[in-house]
Amino acid sequence: MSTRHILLGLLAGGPSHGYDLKRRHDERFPQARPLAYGQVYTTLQRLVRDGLAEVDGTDSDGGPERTTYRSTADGSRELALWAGEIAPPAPFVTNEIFAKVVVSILAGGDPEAYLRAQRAAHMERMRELTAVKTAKGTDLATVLSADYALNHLDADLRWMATTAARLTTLTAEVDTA
Amino acid sequence: MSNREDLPEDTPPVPLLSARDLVKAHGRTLALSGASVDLRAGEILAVTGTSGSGKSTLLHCLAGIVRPDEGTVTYAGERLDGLPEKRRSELRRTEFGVVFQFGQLIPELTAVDNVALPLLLAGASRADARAGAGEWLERFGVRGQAELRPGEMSGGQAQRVALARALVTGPRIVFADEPTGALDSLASEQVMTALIGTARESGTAVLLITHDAQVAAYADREIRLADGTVATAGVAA
Repeated sequence: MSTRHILLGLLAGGPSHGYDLKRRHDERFPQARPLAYGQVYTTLQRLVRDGLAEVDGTDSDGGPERTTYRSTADGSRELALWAGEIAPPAPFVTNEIFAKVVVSILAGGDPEAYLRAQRAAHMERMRELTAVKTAKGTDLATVLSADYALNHLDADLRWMATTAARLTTLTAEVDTA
Repeated sequence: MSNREDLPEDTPPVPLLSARDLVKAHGRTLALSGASVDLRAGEILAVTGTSGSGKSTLLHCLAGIVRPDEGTVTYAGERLDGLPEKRRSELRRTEFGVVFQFGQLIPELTAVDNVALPLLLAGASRADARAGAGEWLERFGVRGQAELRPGEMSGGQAQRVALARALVTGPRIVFADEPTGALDSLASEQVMTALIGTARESGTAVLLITHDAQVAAYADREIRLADGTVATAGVAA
């Protein structure tokens, strides 16, 4: 994920300082790793260097003085370009589950038992995510994020079900060979 | 929350509904070949499996809609499989609620009259039945559709009306066979949230047949059927 574009997106609503940007990032993207303060400030400095953001002023608000930043016209253009850019449809074929099944078939292991256990773990995670998204008062960002994870886990499960069915065919082929 | 969570940890869970070694054939096709399953009071149990794995036949045997060829079904200490149809039908009206993929609402009746029907059959007055039905439509967020007929509602609304009809008599178990099978993902989510939320509030057990993992994830537990038998543990350890 591009932190610089996420920060530009958060600045699109108006000037903000580093602490506030970090807080809003962590709220909006609850499943993402929380941003480190250091990363926020380094990214802001790079945005300023590249002319995509500029210092708006300082704001103390009773506490320590903080620098506030705002997006520039170039920053807005850059953000619009990035937001409209198509993400490469990732093939996702190099994941660990796929590798373990293939290795297990090659090594004469028990891929079926592995797939059953993996399925149970996936279902457990899906139950957790469903409980999170259906809890009373859950905010929309959390619901969307849980939906995203649920749909990807579901895709894994469908692949695992098809693969388990293919294992039966494969075994039959080996047995009759 | 489900009732069992109120019990001390060392209390062995007593199943409300219990099936052992069910066998059922449709003609020459063996739909169930020795399936065993337990459903505890207040539990939400998902039964998953591929098409033809015996899911719907299992539901029909557990709900007393059909008799198994072999094996036993016990509900609250009473053997269901040997009961005459009259008694099984009475149980289905009073203790069980059933929802299918297509709600099977009566097309000529409005939503409120569909939901009021089980109460009328149980002897309630028309005014009481309609008032009770109205409350359940409200709980499922379809009060505004009370005077519409099934053909005038969206699929998700009709299915929520069907759920209200299944729950209006306060059953101890709801059997739901692919209740979201004909719905898009958002309507499916609304139906599942309504069903599970209401079941948990009222302590109603749900046996949920589904091929959809995202629907199964609403349940406390999942059993998988394969070739008419339970591929993962269906009986409490």
